[in-house]
Amino acid sequence: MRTVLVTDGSETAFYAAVFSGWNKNAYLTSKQNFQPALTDELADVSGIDAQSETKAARVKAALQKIDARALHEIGRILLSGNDEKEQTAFLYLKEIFRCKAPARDKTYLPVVAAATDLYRQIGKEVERLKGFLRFKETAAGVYYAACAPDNDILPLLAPHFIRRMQLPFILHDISRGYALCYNGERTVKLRAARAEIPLSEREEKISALWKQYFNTVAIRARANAKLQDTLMPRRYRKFMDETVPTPPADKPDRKE
Amino acid sequence: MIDEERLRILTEGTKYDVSCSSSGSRRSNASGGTGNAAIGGICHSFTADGRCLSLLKILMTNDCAFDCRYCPNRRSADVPRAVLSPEEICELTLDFYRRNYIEGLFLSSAVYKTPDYTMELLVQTAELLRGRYRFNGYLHIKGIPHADPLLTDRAALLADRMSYNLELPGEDSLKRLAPQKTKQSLLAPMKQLAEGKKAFLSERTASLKGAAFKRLSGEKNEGGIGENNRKIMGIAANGAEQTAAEKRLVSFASSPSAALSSFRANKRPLYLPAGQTTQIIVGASPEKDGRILRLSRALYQKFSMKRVYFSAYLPVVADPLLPDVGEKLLREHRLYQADWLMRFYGFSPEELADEDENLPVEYDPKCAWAIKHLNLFPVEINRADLSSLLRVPGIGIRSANKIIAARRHTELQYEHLKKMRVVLKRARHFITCDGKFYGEEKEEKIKATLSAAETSDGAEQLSLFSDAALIKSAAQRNDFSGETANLYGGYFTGARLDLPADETQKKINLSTPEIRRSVLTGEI
Repeated sequence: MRTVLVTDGSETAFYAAVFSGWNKNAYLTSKQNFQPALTDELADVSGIDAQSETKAARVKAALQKIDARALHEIGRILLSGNDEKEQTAFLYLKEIFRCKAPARDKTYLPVVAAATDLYRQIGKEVERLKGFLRFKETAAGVYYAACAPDNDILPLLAPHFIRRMQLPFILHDISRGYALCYNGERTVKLRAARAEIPLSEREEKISALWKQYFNTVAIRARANAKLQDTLMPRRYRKFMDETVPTPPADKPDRKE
Repeated sequence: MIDEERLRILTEGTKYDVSCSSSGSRRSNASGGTGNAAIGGICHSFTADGRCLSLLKILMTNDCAFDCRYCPNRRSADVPRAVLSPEEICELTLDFYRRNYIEGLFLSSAVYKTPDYTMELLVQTAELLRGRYRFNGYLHIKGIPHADPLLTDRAALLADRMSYNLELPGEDSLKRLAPQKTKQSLLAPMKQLAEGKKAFLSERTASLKGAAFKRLSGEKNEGGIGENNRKIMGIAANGAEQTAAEKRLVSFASSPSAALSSFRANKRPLYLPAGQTTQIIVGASPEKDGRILRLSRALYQKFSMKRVYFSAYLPVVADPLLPDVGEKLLREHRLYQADWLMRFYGFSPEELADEDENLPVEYDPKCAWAIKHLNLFPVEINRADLSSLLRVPGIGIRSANKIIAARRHTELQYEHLKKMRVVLKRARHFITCDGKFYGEEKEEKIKATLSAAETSDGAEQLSLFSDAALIKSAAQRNDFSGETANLYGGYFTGARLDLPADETQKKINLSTPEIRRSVLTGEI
């Protein structure tokens, strides 16, 4: 029989679930509408209390001793948009504890390969969005960027733009319904499903210049839409000025 | 503000310049400034032809005094002309940068009136951008041939990267097609920049040491700028023997720069942190790939180039001296593959192609080399050292690293490699796993399978972005110190730099911290 531990997606709940599920045949997930099999035993461990904090702290301390870098890796894997992320991290963790040694080099083991994949996917998406994110100047002079990334990566993106822009800005994750707002000193997280934002007067003009630039630099004789699609997947384009009126994609977006 | 028409004219003029990379510099932002540089570069968009768009690549003007035959902006061409002022360029750059459209500016220009006049305007723009606009993002300046060397140095202290395009891989072709450019006018600034950077770095190290000593002995710290560097920057203008150009430069440097000097004072000066690059057009002139590869190796070694770009010739201008059909992109792709092999895999041009032949079309250059050297294969993946693994077709730097890390834990089998996502389509003919062989035995069969594999894999054709490109490493260069020191004069005749006697000496340094960040660039 399998015990399904449902967490709230937070790191603490994950480590607490690892603690509770250690000696069982456990399956960890944070998916709220998870469909258990008939033989599954379901346990909700999403409420964080003093007890779960202690449990989480014990697992983390033990991991820290064996492989501190794995703490960072798992923290990042938990930002993934993959439904299996808790289970993937759990199995990776088990492998580390089984050998009492770092496991990241054992890429021939499926559990390690799966964890590495999630970790790399997130890094890749962060790198992509550092480039693909588009800010718009609002009437209030704040720069606003909307996106709907596969993974929950705004916390990884914000430091990059803080260092770079030194301006108040808003990063809005439409699909997760929250925004990170930076006011020049601090960053706060706000719930926001949608945003109606009046833009500055110059915005349209500059956006038009950019679109024209984008279209002019392409060498027509060498059009290669397939390569363009690989390098700039269509799901990102609806937020980018230069590609906004995209003809509807005939295929649903594929996850990589 | 700039209008769409001028933007279009001035963008048209740059789009055939292939380089759009924004990597190699880690310039940081300063308080009150805008922008920084990312060491691995960032692609902000991809054009319809699939090229990375990272910088605002624009001409200051396309109004040219030169008459190069391949150039659509040559003096004798009847095309609309436009000019941008330094302020207009700066404003457009900042407006684009704040919206995260771009990583910085790639500023180039036609030769406007005279080379010096043009270069001064470019430097002035760079100064405005770094000074008044406090821009710390990426700045690439295309150098103007024949301009005063002092202006070149001045630009080098402001830009992250500079480039002079060699354009044609042979002196004769250059004479024929670009009569006003000479070998000398293109190579002299490259040499100057390479030497300038070396001098700057050694002087800074020395002066930092000196400053530390002074601090210890209670004297005031002078901020780590050497005397020579001060002179270039026009700070210490006490020399009685200033040349006219120097005077011009100093007045130039001090006039718009009240804000500049206070701003730059607490920032450490940098001299081309991202080095220099160049571009060679392939297929407009008769030189073969073997010659081009030898030339690029010479450029890497002699002028510490970060990259040599290849551009498949595209007929933009009808001219009896120019071919009227474009060069195939595959040739460009093969050259880049060979370039990667030279820089990261320890190959020499002699191993890849003879001087008077092209790279093979049906296989990639590593594969072609391996087929010619079947006696060196198969290698056992559980024992082979890194440099042998890197010579296996299909195994790149990342796979080789994965294999070496994993085999410490277990005896690797073929199935393991599959799970590790090592691409085995080509590699299986050249390796054994724990003593077992999984490829074809006969040479003809290997050839047949491999050439089929290559053509069926369309995505391979243009992937500058394949695994190999993801990882940056530095291949140890051949030692050529004594030999071919005359390269500067003689490289057009094809300097031959032979392999070191003991090939196993080639070691490849793989795990620098930047490796994973340097996506898409593959620069040394």
